[in-house]
Amino acid sequence: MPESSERGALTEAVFYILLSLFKPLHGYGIMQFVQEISNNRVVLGPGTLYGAINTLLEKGWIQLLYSDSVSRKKEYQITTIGRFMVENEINRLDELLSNARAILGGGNSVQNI
Amino acid sequence: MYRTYRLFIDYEKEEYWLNQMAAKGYNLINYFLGLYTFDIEQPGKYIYRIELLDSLPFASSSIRYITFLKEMGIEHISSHFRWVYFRKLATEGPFDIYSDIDSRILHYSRIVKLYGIVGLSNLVISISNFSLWLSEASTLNLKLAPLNLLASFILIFGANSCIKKIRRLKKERQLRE
Repeated sequence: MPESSERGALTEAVFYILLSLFKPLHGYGIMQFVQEISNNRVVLGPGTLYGAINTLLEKGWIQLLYSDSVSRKKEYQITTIGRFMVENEINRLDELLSNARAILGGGNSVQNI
Repeated sequence: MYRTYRLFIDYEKEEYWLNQMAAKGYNLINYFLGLYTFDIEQPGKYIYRIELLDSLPFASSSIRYITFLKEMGIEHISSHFRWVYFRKLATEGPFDIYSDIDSRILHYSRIVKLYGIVGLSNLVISISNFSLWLSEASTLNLKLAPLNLLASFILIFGANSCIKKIRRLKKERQLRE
């Protein structure tokens, strides 16, 4: 189980970086994946991405691969702990969404108010 | 080739100026002690960014970081102590080194630490220069003291403006990341 301080919300950058690494990717690939999946809404700054990757490596949520032998760029992939963290975050986001939708009544009652 | 001298204490103003120059076709290729050297090329080709690194550019941690940026299409143009100048082709979309509040706060704190330490040391040196002039009537010390004092004021002013930016970001962080 994670420490209690690790049960809070993941940042948007971390959540998307973890999602991108269900397949091995290098830094530039992560940035492109996140930009595409968010329809250009989330553009990770290289400094922010670099810091996040290092922290995630330290925590063991992602790991380094050396498979890209042609370009010799470092590739990363999510670990079991990382997958667990993503699942936890999905449950947390589900709770937020279902509570919000229940209060807003699925979006229809907003117009009725 | 075009050369000009400038002195900036706020790196974001410097960045703004460099990008205005780039929009006119003046692309920075080197910086050293206030001297900016530009190549004249097509306007609007690059976006420039400045960053204060954690360590000197030739330290292994900095080399790893600069290599990472290079793999993302970011060119390392010039270094000046721990300050580095980067650029990226404007056609490749927006370019910001940091995209969230936490990493921006971290970068500003790095600047506060640097300006704070150098600023306070200048203040101490200035005071000791004044006292040397008083005790030994050394005119060289009298000439140096105001320079140290001026440098310390400028740096402490710079550190303070970063502290204000950090405070603003922390307030914003209570609402969003």
